[in-house]
Amino acid sequence: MSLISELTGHLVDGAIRNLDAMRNGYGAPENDPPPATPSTIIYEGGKVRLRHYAARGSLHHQTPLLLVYALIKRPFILDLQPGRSVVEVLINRGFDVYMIDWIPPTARDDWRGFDAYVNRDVANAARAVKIHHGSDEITVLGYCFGALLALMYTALHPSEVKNLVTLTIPFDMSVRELPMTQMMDSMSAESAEMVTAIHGNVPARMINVGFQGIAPVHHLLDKYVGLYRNSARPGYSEMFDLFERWMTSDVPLAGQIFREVTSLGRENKLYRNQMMVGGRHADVKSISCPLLNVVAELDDVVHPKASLPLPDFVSSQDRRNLTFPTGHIGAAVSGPALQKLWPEIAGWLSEHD
Amino acid sequence: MAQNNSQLAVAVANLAEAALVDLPLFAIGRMFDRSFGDDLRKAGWKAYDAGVVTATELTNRVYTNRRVGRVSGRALDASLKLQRLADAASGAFFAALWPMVGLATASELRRLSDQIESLREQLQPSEFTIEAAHQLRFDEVLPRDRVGEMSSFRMSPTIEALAAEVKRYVSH
Repeated sequence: MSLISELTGHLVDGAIRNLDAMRNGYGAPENDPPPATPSTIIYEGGKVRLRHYAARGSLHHQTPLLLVYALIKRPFILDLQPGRSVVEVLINRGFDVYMIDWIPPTARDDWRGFDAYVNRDVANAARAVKIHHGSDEITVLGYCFGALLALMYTALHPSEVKNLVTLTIPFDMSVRELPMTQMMDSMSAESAEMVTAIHGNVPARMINVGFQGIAPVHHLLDKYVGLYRNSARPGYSEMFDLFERWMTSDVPLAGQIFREVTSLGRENKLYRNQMMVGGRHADVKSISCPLLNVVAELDDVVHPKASLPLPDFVSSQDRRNLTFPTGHIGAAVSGPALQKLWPEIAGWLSEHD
Repeated sequence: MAQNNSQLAVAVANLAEAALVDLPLFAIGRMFDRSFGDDLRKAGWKAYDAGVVTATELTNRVYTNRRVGRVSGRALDASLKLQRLADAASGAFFAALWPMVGLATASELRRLSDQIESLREQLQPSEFTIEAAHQLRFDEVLPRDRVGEMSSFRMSPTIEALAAEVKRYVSH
């Protein structure tokens, strides 16, 4: 088939996918692809649906692992397809994995801020994990925005967490290396207030536009050309489809947490150790458990420089950065990350079990 | 900035080389010898890749341009204010119109919906805080040997029916 006709087909498919997402809503959980790894929902409450993936094989680690995913897209990127699943890597190495599958906020949830998400939802999920697993301690692993939640949870409830793993965490929000972050500086505090005054929550389509805006040339053209060029590679187009579904799986962000995040970013509150959650100081210095801070060297969403300083700010004796040459999303789906990075993370978890 | 300049310069140089030298050269070669077809294709992709890098670099420059940032910030503010005004105006207009044609207003529907939500919350074990009543909620967490019997909260049939009624009303 000629380049023009095939590329036109891909572009039309992409446009239909985006229009469908606008019509049907973006990150509705019912639009998730079939999960690659079977799970059981063991708890639902607040905005948490807690999934349990049972450990496989003869080796079973004692400490359960709670994955705290980001609030702004669906979590199936961590379990995309057999052979390309972070969850699969971890359970195959003997970890009982529990994942927070966030229930998208409705108009009524615009009051939800860090207090509700951290002190209620993550805390409840952690308690549910302990009860279900019969364990007194858990390891918390957060990814991107989820890493912020995990960090705040650990800072506020240090005795509850045995180990903390943060993956691509936007810790130092003063870092302005990425062009998109500079562009976002032009958004005034008043604009942020107005977005939530008009919509209540930040609509999923706005979040989608923000993500696509990070790399417009890629999203408008280059990814489709990439699909044409790689169409002969086995599995590429299936992977592309799944990935595109994830790209349009944006979830609305509760109004209050959006206001808090913009203020957190503007005043760089975590880096300055001034973050207050529900009237309590989320003191990063109070974190004394072992910390593994995973940094993606080619991250174009959270610049590595924004993640790297974290270990210097906690009190843990056992703390380190683990850098890996991959991008923000590549850390969860790329072949090298699944073959090298995640086994290394699993090795660290195993040592700290 | 110096690094950005050099990245853009390299990207433009690659694009110029591929588009102005390689492509015409291999295109002419192919007119006389078909074996140049592969080289021509490779030169085409090289030009495309260089074009993508150049376009990306230019986009990044737009993002980092303070003047563009200021203008887009103001445009965003203005569009949000306009949207707020339009919402208020249309709300006022339709609030007067709906009762005239015998339909419920948005605030009436919201009140009804609030009542349902309030009933739902009364029936649901209350959203528990860390300190209090957590046993209530953790009745929902099943021990390992009973996994699969998920007992998530369901609304009562009466409220389900009421909710369906409201949904139907709203969709009309």
